[in-house]
Amino acid sequence: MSPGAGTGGKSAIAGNGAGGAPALPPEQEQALDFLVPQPGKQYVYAANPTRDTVAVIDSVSLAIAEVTPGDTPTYLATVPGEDVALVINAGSSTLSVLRTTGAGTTVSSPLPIIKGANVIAIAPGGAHAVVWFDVTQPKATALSGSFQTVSLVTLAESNDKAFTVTVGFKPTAVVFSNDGKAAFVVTSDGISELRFAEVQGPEIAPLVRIQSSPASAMNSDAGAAGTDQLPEAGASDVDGGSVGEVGTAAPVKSDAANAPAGSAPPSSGTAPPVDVSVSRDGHWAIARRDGTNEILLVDLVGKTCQSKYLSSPVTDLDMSDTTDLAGGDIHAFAVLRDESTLVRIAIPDGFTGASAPDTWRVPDETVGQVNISAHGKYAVLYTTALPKKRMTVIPLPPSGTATPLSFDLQKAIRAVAIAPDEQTALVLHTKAAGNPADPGLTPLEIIDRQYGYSAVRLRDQITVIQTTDANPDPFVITPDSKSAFVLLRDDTKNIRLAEQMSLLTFQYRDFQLGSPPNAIGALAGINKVFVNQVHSEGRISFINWDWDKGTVETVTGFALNGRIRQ
Amino acid sequence: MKRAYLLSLPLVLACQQTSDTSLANSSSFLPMQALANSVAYVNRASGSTFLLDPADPALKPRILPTGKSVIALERSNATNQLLVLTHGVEGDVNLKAEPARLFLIDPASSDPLSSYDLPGRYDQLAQSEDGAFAILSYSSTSSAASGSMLYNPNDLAVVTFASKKLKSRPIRSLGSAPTGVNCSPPGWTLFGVPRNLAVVSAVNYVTLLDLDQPDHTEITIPLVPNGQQTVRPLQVLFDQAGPVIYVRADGSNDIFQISLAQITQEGSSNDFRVSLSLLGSGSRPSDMAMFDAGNGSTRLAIATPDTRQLAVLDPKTGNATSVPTGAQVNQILKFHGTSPKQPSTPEDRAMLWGFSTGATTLVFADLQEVETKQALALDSYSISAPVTVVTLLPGNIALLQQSNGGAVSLSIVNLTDRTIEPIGSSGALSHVAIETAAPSRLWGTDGGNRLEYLDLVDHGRGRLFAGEVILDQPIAGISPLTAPSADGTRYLVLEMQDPTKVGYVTVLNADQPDRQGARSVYGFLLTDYLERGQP
Repeated sequence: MSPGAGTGGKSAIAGNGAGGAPALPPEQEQALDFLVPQPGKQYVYAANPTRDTVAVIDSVSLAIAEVTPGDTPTYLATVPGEDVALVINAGSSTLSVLRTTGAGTTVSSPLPIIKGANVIAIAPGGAHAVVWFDVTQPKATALSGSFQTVSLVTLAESNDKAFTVTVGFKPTAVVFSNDGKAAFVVTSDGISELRFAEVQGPEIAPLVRIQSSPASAMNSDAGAAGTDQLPEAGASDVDGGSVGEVGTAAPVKSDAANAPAGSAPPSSGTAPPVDVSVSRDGHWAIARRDGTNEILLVDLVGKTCQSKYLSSPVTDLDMSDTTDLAGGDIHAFAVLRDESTLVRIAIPDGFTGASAPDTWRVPDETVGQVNISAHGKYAVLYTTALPKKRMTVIPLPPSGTATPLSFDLQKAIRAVAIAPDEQTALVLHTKAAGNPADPGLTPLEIIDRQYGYSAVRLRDQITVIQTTDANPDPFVITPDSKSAFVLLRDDTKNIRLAEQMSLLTFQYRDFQLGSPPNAIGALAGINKVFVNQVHSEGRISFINWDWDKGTVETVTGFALNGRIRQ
Repeated sequence: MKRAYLLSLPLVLACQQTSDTSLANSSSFLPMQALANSVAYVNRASGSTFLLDPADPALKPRILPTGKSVIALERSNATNQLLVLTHGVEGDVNLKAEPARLFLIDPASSDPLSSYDLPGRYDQLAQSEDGAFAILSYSSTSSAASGSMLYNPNDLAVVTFASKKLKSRPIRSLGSAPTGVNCSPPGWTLFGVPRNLAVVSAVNYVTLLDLDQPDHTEITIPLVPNGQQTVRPLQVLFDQAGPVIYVRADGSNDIFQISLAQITQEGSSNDFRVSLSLLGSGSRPSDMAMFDAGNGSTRLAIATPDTRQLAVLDPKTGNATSVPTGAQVNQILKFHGTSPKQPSTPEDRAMLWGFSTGATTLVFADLQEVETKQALALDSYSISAPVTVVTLLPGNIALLQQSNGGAVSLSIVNLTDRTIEPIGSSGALSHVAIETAAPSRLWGTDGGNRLEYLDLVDHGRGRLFAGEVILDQPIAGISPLTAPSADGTRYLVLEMQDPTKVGYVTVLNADQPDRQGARSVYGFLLTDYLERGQP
């Protein structure tokens, strides 16, 4: 996810493209779920649509207040680091802004929003939010919401506002500039811009179409594209747009200068853009088209879009933006699985030919996904398409190349997360079919058949695997990077655990829970994680993540607590 | 055996002439109340309290005028005083009104009685365990509870004996009236400071009162999300390890955990907020006990007889570990001691037994081991008959009263050795009284005039030494007093069968009971009958 990615975005993976598409299945990324409690600074907010209430849970005192924001409050999001929650009242098409004071009082103000909205994306800083309809969300249908409008919400105490803004067709993600001054709605038509200072009422948002331009192959050997390496035409799952179509907002800038002579124009522009990332300043966006060689750079200020065609399909694309650091820069990182290569492309010079991309080949490895650490110190490469027990770490130099460090893991990889301090990575593993208790298995076969996760110290690749009796999912890394928590749940085996792994010592401990856990989040201000559990009356536990404390407090019965008269 | 007759002939005649009225008045006496070294009889109607000092050679009672319409009396938990709650008299055109009062009767004092005028005609009296507070309340919303036409059944009065202050504290109602009051135990601390709280139970909710801060508002805690359920709080425990209160209720499968968190106090608000958690414990918990998990944290042991399980709850996480007991045990007697397997490791353990379930099994649980060893932490023992009463005695000894077809039998259980000694008896034991403090002795009768006793601990004649004293009349009640009288003797007061209800008791030396030392008094409730304006 890019530095400026919004919380509402879901980087859905479309089906494989046609020509050039590898036989491997697509790489997998995980989506967020709004139907679970969300943490603020000190309070956790849990929507209860059946009671028309939101429970506001004080993680310090465990006191719970119940507020009634509107009809069927369902989708809820919080402003990071603040005790402010936004909840969509699905029954009345309103959005309630809940603000909890230090005294524990929560006030709510409803605002009209678009019909059928089911996603809330909040801008960094918490001054704005975009509420929109995502047809891919559970229970959503094409009839239930608006495909071309979003609600732009301006959050100001006592003066909250919401405007309806018309955007491109069928939004798939909303991302923000890191300064929180703009949102970018990724649609099938292109990227609709919402520069908050300029939106004073209902309007049509400027649209930058994401249009494929003629081929521009990399001039490095690793990514050099020949005509026969260009992807075939896009698959039939066309969502909008067409090859060569000129955007209405601004002309598409052709990258003909880099196109090899005689190369055919790419025909991949029908696949929807995915892996959209936006730079901190909201100037640049990048995207790729699944199953194709193409990556796109969108100049959100100049309202142009240009394509770059790499030498094989791009299976993952990420952005590193370190412009908040002295001497920082912006890069796109593309993974070419077929070539076991990571390509780093400077933005924008790498797209214009002004600078050559850096490439790292990882011979004999299958790498389809990349995670870039928060400040661009490491790239972590792996694949989720095959049960490979290998991972590659590349210490990223400011320029030039470095030696990729590949190493063994005990199990295949399902997902990877890097701690904010860039020191460690948490690796969630897949489980091989079969019962680990079957007789005659070797120790490695037993491990293969177990669930588990690993912690990896990136600087020396020291790895510790932890096998578990249940699938470790979901997980959270604490904001101070000291611990990771995974939830272990198997109702048939009565497994209900939150497991903490110290990312400093790689030691772990279990916290038994009273009910099956289903969600976890971190409350940075008080060093606690919350663990939501499946309980008819609502149950949530708070675990202090300081290793010398590890206290657990549980509160159950949200509705009852909401009726306590203090 | 010496017998004293307190009635003079004219009085006897007077009694005979007004026998109906006399008997009517006599029959309104409440059951005898034992104090530390004396006993009291209280006339419900007239409000006269008869204090009888068994050391008095004449056994002549001291009569104290307390308020009329006595509703309840009980011994103070703090002092050797008697608390007497009266309704008083509402008054009429020809009848002087008398307020409802709470009297304190100190048998050792000759000072005028102290009393508190009450703002309502309460019919329930509850004390804190240390006797520092008394809470007066109404038992129901019916007029029978008050005797008044109109009254607020949710009005409480809190008496703070140390400051001699009474504060009316009407509490908000969610549709019912208080059914009971539980105070925090002595020494209970909140945020590091000793604190006195009260939990007022009512159908479907409890109310939390800060007894130390009478001006602070109460906190009302609903126990059901709507009115379609009926939950009756039955048991309240205050956690010694943290600011937590546990409530067990009839009609709920959950234990209610009330957690208190410190906040800044403003105005009349409290300096804490409460939150509620429901701890799933299985089906219909019948008893609960707190114990130390060994690391300073609290666990709850829960008996669930319907599923024949013992559940151990971790209140911090809500996690429950249930193990089968194999018997329908529904009561928990917690003790701290060793076990045969761990003879040098004293820790919290429990004996579980069945009350009115017909269970003839005792289950011992090593409570701290249940979460790890599960069923291996339990041991079961068969007994001869179902248990009706269990009394914990010093030295981790429990006395079981058992009933089989109406016949009462007894067994002594050594909780640490897990041995069960049946006590032989040639007949059914009646009017059993057990001294729970040293010297621990069991008293009973054969249903007639034979007083039986058994030393439950060694008093120099060996443990389980049995003796008997034969008296002249059948015995109707046994009250061993806990403290010696002025003559240095600790007395046993026996209520003798007294069909005319004029007062008939026999006193003996409780430590050296014998027929020769027994003294009786008959008719003492009619003392000064005429002088008192009776009838």
